[in-house]
Amino acid sequence: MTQRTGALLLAMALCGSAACDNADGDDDFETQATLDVKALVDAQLETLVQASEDIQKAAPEPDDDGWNDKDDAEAYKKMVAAWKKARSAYENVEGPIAVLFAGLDVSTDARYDAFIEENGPDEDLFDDENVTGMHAIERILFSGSTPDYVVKFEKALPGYKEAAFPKTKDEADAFKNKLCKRLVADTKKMKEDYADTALQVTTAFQGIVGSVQEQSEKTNLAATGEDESRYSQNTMADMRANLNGAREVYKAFKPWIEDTNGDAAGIEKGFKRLEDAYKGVEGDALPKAPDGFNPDEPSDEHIKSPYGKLYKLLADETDLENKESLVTLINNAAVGMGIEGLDEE
Amino acid sequence: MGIALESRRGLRAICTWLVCALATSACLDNKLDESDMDAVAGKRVFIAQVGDFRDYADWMSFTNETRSDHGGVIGTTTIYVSKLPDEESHEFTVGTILFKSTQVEGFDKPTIHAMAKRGSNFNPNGVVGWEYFELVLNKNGTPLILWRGADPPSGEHYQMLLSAQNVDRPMMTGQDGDCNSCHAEGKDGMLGDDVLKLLDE
Repeated sequence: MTQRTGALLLAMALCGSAACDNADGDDDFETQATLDVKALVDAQLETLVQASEDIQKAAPEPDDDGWNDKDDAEAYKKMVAAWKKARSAYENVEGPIAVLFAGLDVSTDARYDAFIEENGPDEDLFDDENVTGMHAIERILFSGSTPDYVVKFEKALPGYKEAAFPKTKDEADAFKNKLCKRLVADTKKMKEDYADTALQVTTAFQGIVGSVQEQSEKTNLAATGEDESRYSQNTMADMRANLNGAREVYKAFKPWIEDTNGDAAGIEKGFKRLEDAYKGVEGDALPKAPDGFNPDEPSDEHIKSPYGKLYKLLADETDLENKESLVTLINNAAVGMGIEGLDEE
Repeated sequence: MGIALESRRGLRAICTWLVCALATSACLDNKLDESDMDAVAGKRVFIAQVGDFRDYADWMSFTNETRSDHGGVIGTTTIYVSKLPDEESHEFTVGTILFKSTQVEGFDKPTIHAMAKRGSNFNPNGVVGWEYFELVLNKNGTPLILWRGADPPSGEHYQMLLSAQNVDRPMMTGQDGDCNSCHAEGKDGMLGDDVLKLLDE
C-alpha cells in the first residue's frame, strides 16, 4: 500500500471517530498521533515477519537424526537469535495489535497451557495445529534448558507432553515446514491486514494502556510458573519491550496530551518508575517468585523479594482506584483529549 | 453470559417480525446514512474498531416488540444494519456491521452481539469473511468491545447450545457449538441472507 492510500484510509477512519467533533487543532494532533502509531506498528510488524522467516530459514534441513542445540549449534544459535528478535518486535506492539487480531494473537503468542486447555492434548509438537506460534517454537528450542519449575508446572497440566528437539527427519521437516511456516503465515497475515487498516485513534491509544497491563499480567502469571517466555527465561525482556512499546505510543500522543493539559510529566514519571525497576533486574529473566507467593495476599517478606517488588510496583501502576497510578493518568489524558470508547469502567 | 446463536425457530421468528416491520415500516427507524460505510466499500479487509460501532443508533434498524431468543438471551431485540448491499447484490460488502441489541426485562443494559464483514478470508471454517463481537454500553452509551473473533474466547458459554434439543443439530453439539454453528447455515451469514430475501420481496 502506498503512503497516499494509507493516509486516505486513515483520513476515512478519522472521519468516523470521536474527535471529528473537536476543533481543527485537535484534529491535527489526532491525525499525527494516529499516523505515528500506525507507522511504528507497521515497522515492528515488518521486523516480526522478517524474524519469523529467519527462524524458518535457520531451521536445519531435515535429516535422519533431526537436530539439537549441540550437534547443530550454528543453526541453533541463528534460530534463537531470530526468535528473540521476533519476541521483541511482537511485544513492542502487542498492545495495539492484540485488540485487532484476537485469533492471530492466540495462534502467534498464546501459552502452551492455554492451547491444551482449549484444544486438548497436542500429540505432535512440530506440526502447525493446536499448539502453535512463538511459544511453541520456544518450547522446542529451549527444551534442553527449560527450568525445572517450568517442567513441574507443565507436567501437572492435563494432556501434557514433554518438550523435545526433533529426533527424526519427519519431526525436523514438520518443525521447519509446518510449525515455523505457520508462524510466518500468521505474522504475514497480521502485517498485510494491518497495512490495509485505517487505524482509529481509540485503538491507537489503547496501545499504551494495553502494553502497561501486559506487563502486569506477565508478572502476575509468573507467580504460578506461568510466566510468558518461560522456557527461554526471556519474560523480563518481553516486559522491557512492552514498556518500550507503550512509551513509543505515548510519544506519538504527547503533544496532544500536553495541549489538552494532561499530566504528561506524571505519565513520564510512571514510565520511569517501571524503567528503573526493570534496570534493577539483571538479564532477561523475570525474578523467580518466592515459594508460596500468594498474589491475593502477598506477605511482607515476599513483597521485599525482587519478584515481589516488581509485582507490587505493577499492581500499583495499573490500579485504577489509585489516582496517581500510571494507568489512571493515561486514562485521564484520554478523557482530556476527548478520546471515547476506552474501557473506563 | 448469554450468547449470540440463533436456532431455526429463532430465525423464523425473526423473519416474521422483519416482514412485519418492513411491511408496515413502523419499525424502520432511520434511513441509513451510507457516507461513512461507503468509504470502506471495496476494501480487501475491514477490521472493525470501537469507533465503527459508535453511531449504531443512527443506522437502519428493525425492532422486534415481542420477546425473541438469541442464544438463550430472551428479550426485546433490535437489529441495526450499517449498510445494505447494492441493489443487484446478494452479499453484504466488506465493512458492513450487523449490530444486535437484546434488552432483557429487568436489566439496565442490553446484551449486544454484532457481526462485521471483515473480508480477507477471515473465519475460513465458519461464515467466511465475518467476525463476531460482544459489546457493552459504557456509562455514556458508547459501545465497547468485550470480545471479538471467529469464535468467542474460551470460557464463554452458550446457553442455547447446552440445551438438549439442540444437540442433534448439524454443527451444533453441546459445548462444541459457537456463533458459526448457527450463522454458517445461511448464505453470507444467517441474518444477512434473510435481510436480503426480505428486501427482495
